[in-house]
Amino acid sequence: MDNAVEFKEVSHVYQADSPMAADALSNVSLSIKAGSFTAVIGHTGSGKSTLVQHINALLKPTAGEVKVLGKAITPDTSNKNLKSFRKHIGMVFQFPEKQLFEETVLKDVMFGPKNYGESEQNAELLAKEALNMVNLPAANFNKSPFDLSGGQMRRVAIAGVLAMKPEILIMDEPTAGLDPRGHHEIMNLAKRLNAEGVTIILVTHQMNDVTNYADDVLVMEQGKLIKHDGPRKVFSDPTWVVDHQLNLPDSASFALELASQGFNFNELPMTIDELADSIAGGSMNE
Amino acid sequence: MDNIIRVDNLTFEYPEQEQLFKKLSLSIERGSWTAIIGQNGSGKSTLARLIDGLLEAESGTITVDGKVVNEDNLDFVRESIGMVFQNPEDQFVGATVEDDVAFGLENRQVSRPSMIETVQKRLKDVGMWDYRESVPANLSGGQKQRVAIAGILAVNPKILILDEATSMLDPKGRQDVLKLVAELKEKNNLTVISITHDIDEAALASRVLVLNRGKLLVDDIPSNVFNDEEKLVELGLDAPFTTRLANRLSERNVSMPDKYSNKEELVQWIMQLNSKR
Amino acid sequence: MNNFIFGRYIPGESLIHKMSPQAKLLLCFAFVIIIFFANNWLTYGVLALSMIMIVLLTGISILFFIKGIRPLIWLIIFTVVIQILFTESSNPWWQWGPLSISAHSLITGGYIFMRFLLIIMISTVLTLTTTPLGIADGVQTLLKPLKKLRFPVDTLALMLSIALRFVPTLMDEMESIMNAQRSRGVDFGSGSIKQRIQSAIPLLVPLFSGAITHAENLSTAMDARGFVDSEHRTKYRVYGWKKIDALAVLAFVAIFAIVLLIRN
Repeated sequence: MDNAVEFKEVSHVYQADSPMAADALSNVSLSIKAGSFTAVIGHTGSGKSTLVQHINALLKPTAGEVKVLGKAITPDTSNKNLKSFRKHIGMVFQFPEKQLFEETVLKDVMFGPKNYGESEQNAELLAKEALNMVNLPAANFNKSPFDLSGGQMRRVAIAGVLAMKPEILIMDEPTAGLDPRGHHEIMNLAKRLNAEGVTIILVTHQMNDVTNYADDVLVMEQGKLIKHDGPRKVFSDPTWVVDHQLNLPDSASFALELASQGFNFNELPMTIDELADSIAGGSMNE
Repeated sequence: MDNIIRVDNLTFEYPEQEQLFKKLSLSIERGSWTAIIGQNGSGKSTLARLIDGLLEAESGTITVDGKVVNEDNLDFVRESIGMVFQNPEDQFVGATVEDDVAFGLENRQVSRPSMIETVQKRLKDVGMWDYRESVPANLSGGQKQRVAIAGILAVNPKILILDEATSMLDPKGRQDVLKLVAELKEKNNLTVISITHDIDEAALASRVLVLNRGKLLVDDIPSNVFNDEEKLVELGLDAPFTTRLANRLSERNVSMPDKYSNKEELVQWIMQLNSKR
Repeated sequence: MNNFIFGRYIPGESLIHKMSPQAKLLLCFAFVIIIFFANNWLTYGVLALSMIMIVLLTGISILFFIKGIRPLIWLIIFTVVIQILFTESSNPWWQWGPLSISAHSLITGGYIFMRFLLIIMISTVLTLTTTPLGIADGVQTLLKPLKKLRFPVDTLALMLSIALRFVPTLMDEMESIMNAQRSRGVDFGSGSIKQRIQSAIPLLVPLFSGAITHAENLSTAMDARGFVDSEHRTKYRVYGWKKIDALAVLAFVAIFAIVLLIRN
């Protein structure tokens, strides 16, 4: 399979010319496969957000090369060509409802497609399609986005990104602050898009989402990529996980509790169904 | 029973919106920990604001520690209740940590020597004394919420209301804040009301109220509320992990207790089952 | 992240940090006035030397000061160029209509440049070594006499303190909104003037609406914490007049005296 994203020895130093200079990324090399669902985890300040902002060329590497969908960004890349670079990469920021600004919901969602040269009619079609994907009732299309509820505003903002038909969709903690229903809706949307071939890159603190949805995991710590593997492999060593101040998914942590009392697992269960299967199968250490 | 908060026949609506509360009544026992859960828009935060006199009811009465919430008793009510809000950024008034903790004391015209003493004590209580000179921009969300709690405790309230206070925090910040609240509740004999849609936070309470579109749907002990996965999902909430696991085990013909179990209880149950096999 | 120095206090233990804010504010104004008394190379030299001493005394890296100047560099260059071109002189080296360049106009331009630099430097010293709250309190102390005229000094100080406290918050928010709109295809700072103005709307609308939300939430939180009005409060933070303040005043009087002596 092709790689959607490649990092070659990428480093990023914030405010390189100032006394506040800080290493935000150091010497990161990785590749993300096209069509994958990749989770980026690590505690606050580990460089997760800095990493994904390179994929969208919002940050340029201060050393190394980032290659996304075949196009390269290096420290010498001119700022002029970044717009075309971003065209096929959607980015949903933390609390994305903060970016809404138009008079109506529909206009706001049309904003992205129009910036990338779609005609008014086409943009409207794309916007309506995106709003349907996030399940926003058509009755709201001509309302001001500021009159919607918090959860609805979030979905409009996400539609505003989807309307650009991204090939890669980056989501930075897209469910922060939402109630459980809102959380499930957005995670299922990501899953559906992924099934349609969109590469999903999800920055998250929710380990249950990692095991339930992702097929690849990047673990960041102090600007370094400390692990890149499938979710099962990443969580298979609980001591390592805890040592790096990460949490285990609920199922794995419950299974460990059982294991400490003598229950024998062939493999640490990652999802609630796997856990239920293992318990129903049942086995004890002799 | 000694109820520190009583809500009687409360009616309220926001302008140009359908009626939220219609003759809502409930009470909160002194020294209890109550969780109010419900999805966004269920009226949980509005209820908290009405109790603190930040919003005015259309009709009905609210009493806080024996006094009716109205214009005249506002100082008393604000003195009795401390509120931690959702957005850590928006309740940090002071320029530095210590100034922020002092804010409530300044408002109550406490003398400077006594302020200095209280600020130090409360910052030590929440483990933020070492950060006393920090500015908010350099603190994490969880740290800001701990400062907010110190500022609230500084004026010795009887009631602590957490208005989705952990929903914008990362898991570590959330754990820290909840652990701190549990500790402080015991130490200061507080009545805690936590408004949340996080079921694990609700599990810390001794009583759970479920609000849905302004109606009090459930008022029960956590174990009864948490056992009904279907109902919780229907209300837009999640069931606790143990309930979901127990239900999946039942589906696989593993016999399960018919009441809610927490993590330790469920582990014990499974181990016992397993030893019999 | 952001290269805006305003409201970014750098903690430190230097003598300048330890001065009381009202003294710093007062001397900052005094220094600006002294600058306008300078009128030859010698006087500017004395002031520049004093400035270097002050900057060294703060113990803060010079890079922070350079960062403070950078956003204003175009304004400075523009003003200096205008000054050079429009200063009339009897024997210009070059002339075109009302525009001319002469030795005299170059020197005047140099003075203007020095003036800008010194004013920016001294105010940067103030903002880097004084907490936003300190500045607000300094203003409050200095304005105290106006209280007798029923001027709401305390309210003003609280407003100022909150405004300063939210500067970094709003800067971070601006950055993240810009990033969000960039990834929706906005190209900030390129294209025609009309395009540039248009690209400001998707930035300014969310920024203002966010600021309003902050304000609403903050006022609710202040109410909940027993805030009634700003005139009936005690103060946690008190800045007394210190020995170091008196020393600083003496030093400034000395500088002023020297400038008066050696000016033309």
